[in-house]
Amino acid sequence: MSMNEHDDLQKRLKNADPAAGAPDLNATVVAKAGLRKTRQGLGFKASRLFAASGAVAVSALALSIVLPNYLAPAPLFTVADAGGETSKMSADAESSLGMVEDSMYWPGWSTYEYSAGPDLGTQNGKGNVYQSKLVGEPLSLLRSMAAIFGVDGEPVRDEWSDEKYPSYSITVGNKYLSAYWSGTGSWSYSNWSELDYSCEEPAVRSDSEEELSYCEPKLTPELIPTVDELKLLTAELMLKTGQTYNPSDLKIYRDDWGANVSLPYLSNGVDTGAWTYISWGMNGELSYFSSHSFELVDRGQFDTVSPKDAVARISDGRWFGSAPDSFYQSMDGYGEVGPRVGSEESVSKEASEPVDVISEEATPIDDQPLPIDGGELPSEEPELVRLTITSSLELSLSVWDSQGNYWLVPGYILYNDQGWFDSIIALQDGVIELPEPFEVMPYEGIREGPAESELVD
Amino acid sequence: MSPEEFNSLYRSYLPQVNGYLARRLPFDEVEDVAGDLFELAWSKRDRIPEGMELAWLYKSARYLVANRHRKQAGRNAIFSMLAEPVAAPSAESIALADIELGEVFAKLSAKEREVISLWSLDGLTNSELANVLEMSENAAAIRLTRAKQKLKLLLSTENID
Repeated sequence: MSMNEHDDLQKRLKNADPAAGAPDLNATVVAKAGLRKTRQGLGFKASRLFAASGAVAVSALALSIVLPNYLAPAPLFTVADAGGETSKMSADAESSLGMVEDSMYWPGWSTYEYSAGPDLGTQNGKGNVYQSKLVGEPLSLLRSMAAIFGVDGEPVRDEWSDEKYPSYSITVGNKYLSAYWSGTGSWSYSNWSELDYSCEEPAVRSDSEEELSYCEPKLTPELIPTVDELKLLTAELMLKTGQTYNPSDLKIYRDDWGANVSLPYLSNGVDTGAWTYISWGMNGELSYFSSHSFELVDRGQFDTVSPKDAVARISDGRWFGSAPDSFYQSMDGYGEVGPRVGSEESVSKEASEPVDVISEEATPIDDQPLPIDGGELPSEEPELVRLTITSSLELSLSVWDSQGNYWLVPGYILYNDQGWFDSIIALQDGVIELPEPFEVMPYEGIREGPAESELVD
Repeated sequence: MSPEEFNSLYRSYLPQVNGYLARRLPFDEVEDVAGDLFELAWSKRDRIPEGMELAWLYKSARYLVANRHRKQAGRNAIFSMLAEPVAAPSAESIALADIELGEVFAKLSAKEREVISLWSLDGLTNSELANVLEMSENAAAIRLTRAKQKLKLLLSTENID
């Protein structure tokens, strides 16, 4: 192409510029951006209707729009952008991509399309929002727990502790106490002495090729507390640690290798969605205790969207909340892990109402081997999976905000026609602030031969 | 960077941003997307290299426009989510001023329309094209040359027809 042709082409294109006659942009689009983080699900024009009239900024920037403060409902909190699987992928992307790409994710080889079934509710509703508030102070908490669990040491600030997520611990021999002073104020006690077990005789096994020496732990189920003893020990520990609980909420698991008790962490009698876990090792000693130190503060009642409207939020990727463990435990098949050999004192025999004991007789959910290598390569285009949401369940969901705080918000479990579900926040737009939207990474497919850039670089 | 400094610096790019968006979106959507773009710039202001602000704005605007088109395409066009972001003026918008050019423009691929418009309408150099399109300068130059040749060929064919 000659220079004249080049110029002619450019001139002709310029003459057809679709932007000719476009109105000038309102300069407040820049000024407002620097005032605060605005908008959630609203476009700029809509969001500026809610703009605050920050006196300093307005005078400095000579904004043309000044609205009263009562039109500026601040969001309760900003949802953390690393709470779910999708955001985890976003975080991974951040390490390898820069600038704009840091809010992108690779969509994987399946993509899901959701639609609302005919039976899904269309009514909006209301629900309460609760904010966690830490109770106490971490150092005194650790000292109290050290006295309870017999750990003779002083708490120190962890190396990895920072201002936003401070953490402290005490380590003495096999015993370890730690407290993370953010969110729910989680703390735990561990005792590794359970690993000091005896070996079965003989400890040498002959193999066809060589002799292998190994230690087969000698099981001592008689040392492990019985279910009744576990209930009593739990009551004692809960009393010592100053916690309330409902005995009917206990989940107990016991076999020849140890025992576990889990129970909901309550705040003024309300299920917080957090849990306390207690374990006894194969030597029968308390090996683990983890709990929290927070209470829920009611932040009021807020409007919610209907289950049908919530369906559209699934694909967005930013509306996920976590259902409490009690929800999962109420599901059919929960606890159906690989069977273990139990002692003669079977938990199923000992279990009695109201304690809910997980049976050992369950079979694995899926004993099919997972494909690892050597399978077929994924096709070039991801598989489109269409899902219909058939029913919903109202449930409080836990959410972490960008400051590391824990919240309970109204939500829905949205069940689909393929046997699984999503847990979606039901609050109406604007009540909470979402992180920046995730975007799908550029995709160029699998090509024959070198990429265009490779041809010339 | 204070809000005042941000305002002072980024306000100077309003005409370019306005032009870029107005070529690719309905006029009544431009302000919305521009608002999003400058909010994004504010949130990332400390990571935008000095002197690269306009290039960053073009690059980011490209994603915002592409995402907006994707959303408007609806869920049925789910596979379009996987395509490289392309933000080109529509052939229809070109045809408003030049019907023949618009018809030919429609025969270009989206990528070709994009690179042609970035060069001719937005006035980007090869190095700026490379930055916005996220490829090497050579690759950007080759894409532009091929697109121009194709457009020229189509225009000449159109004239013969």
